[in-house]
Amino acid sequence: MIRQEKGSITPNHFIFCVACFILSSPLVQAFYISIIKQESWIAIIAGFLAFIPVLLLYFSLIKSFPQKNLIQINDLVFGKTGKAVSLLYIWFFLTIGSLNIRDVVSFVSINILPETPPVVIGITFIAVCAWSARSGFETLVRHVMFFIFISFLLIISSTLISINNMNMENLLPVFSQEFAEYARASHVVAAIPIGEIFIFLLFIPFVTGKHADIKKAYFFGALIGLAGILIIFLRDILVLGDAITIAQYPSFETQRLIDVEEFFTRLEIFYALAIIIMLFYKTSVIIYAASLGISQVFNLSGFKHITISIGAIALIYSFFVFETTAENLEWGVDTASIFSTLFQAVIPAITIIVAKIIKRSGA
Amino acid sequence: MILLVLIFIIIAAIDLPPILKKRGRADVIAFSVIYSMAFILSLLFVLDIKIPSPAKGFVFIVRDVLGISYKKH
Repeated sequence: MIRQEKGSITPNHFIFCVACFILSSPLVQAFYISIIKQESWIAIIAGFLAFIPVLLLYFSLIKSFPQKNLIQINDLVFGKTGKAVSLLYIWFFLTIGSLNIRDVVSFVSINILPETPPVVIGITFIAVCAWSARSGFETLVRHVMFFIFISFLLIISSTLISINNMNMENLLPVFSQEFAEYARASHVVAAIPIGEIFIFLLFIPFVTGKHADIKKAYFFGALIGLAGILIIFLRDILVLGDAITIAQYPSFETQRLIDVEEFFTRLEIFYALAIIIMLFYKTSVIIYAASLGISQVFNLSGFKHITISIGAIALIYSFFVFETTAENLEWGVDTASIFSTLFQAVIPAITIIVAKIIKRSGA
Repeated sequence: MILLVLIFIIIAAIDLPPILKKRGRADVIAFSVIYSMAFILSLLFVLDIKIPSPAKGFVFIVRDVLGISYKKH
């Protein structure tokens, strides 16, 4: 158990926590759509397959260090250097958190509240996120099933309603580009929407049950999330076709096109609400993870009193992390996948190798 | 500026009393370090002073120093 927090959830609940985290990503679709365009669905499936070995790596960490979270594992394996490794992880969390805040703020200020200054949107958003992070893990994930329900309801209903706008030819041509481009797009998918569930390695001690159940929950959570984004993608590609590459928010545009007998129109606001709810969940989890991490690294008696300050840092970080949207997009298609892979796969792999060496030399 | 100070006074009013009341020294130090970091960063932002982004530093190291990139040069 972790000294700073004593919440617990069941493996079934954990499935939805993981799935909800992946489902909150469609806002950044533009990252991988710009690479292989109408064939992005291939990248989603390939990206998930590429992520499975990394998932096995996490499983081996969970098995080797039962009831321990990432920070405790670092302390056990690396000794004093472990704190530095953990701080690097916290920096990683803060960076992905601030990029998410940036996404929300720019989405809301472009599409919904164009006249409101972005700072105001950011402050209100982060205040709610930090406050919910303060209430602890159990409270944070209590409504996850409700969020998943809303988001699947919207995904399925909007897909059914937009069947009229779909054109099967939009999927063609298939496999028309160089292999390297597919590899690159799959890497982005594996690292950004799916790979971010890496953060849940911090919450393993909160999940009750056997290892096998936790592993299953991790895997099925990723699978449900994948199914969600795959449906969203196919729908957007079928509806928008080539236009998908010029739309900044393809899902938003798809819903904008919905018009059934002039009665069901302007449904995009539901999508906007859903995506803000999902990103609220994601950002709160990230802020919570960063606060819990810091409180464990410095051995504090609790994490609650630092969440708001961490939220403030994440918010300001989101304003200066990139100056322009073009820079952000360039980061998304180029360096982000390398950055995330370093933290999601390379450092955990080093951890497990060092742990094996220590075990062997000790035995 | 005034708004910023007001926001940080509210944060201190929410977080500080419980720490001073029962928590140890480590908590007080950690809170003050993180709180002042947040305040300094926000102050620099409000005063329009450019803060170097660590993410851009990472891009520089990876792309220009190590030469790892998907882009063909």
